Amino acid sequence: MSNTSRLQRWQHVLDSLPPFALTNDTAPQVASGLTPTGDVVPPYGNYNTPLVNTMPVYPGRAVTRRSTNTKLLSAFNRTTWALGAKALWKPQNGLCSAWPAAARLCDNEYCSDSLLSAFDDALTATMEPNFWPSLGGGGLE
Amino acid sequence: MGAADAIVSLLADTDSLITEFLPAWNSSRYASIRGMRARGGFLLSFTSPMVTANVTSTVGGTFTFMDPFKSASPPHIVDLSTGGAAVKPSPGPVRGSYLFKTQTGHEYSISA
Repeated sequence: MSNTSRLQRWQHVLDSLPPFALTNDTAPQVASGLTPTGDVVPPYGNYNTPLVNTMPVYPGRAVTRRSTNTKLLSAFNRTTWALGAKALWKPQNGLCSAWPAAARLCDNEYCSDSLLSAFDDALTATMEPNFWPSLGGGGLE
Repeated sequence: MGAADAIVSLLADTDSLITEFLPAWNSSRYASIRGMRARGGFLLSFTSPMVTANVTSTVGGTFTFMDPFKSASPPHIVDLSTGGAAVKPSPGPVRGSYLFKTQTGHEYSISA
């Protein structure tokens, strides 16, 4: 198969993807939960595994701080901060797993200062004297 | 890994077509970055507050970036590998962005 054919094939797949699901279950619109199992907190999904809700931002890069779709960008901004706040930025399944998506959407100094402060608090709350975070099991991710 | 990615994302946007220095960093907070790899094989070195940004091209190609100084006139670029020869940037694809062609192994300095 030629590169042109591959490109056309993948472009077709890309063009056929459905839009990201959002929910209006709360006043601010957020990305809808993707895994209705475990410690689900509707409509914020599984806050202890925040990646399942923020994959379009990280590692997906489909939504960035420069996205022109302001509705989608706002929804994912609210989602990342809602998940982070709910888990106090130290979700049990991956201490730092909520951090990349939130940081990648930051576009001003107030946001980055707030995030750095939240990260600092999360580490202070979990770090043992040997700098290993206590998360009740599991390890760093 | 998540922690490192988060901090790096605040310091630079390096994986899109247009590299952006300090996209969300508080300029009063000191930071020093050396050899951060950006898309296209470019190595970035800069500080916060921003004075100059150095870009080393490892494979040649065009370097496209948002003007970190956000000034009315284009930033000054010199090729440090040729004794400081001036490099004239061209306007980039979006407002406030610029681009210039690089040569493999050369280091460039961007200043206001």
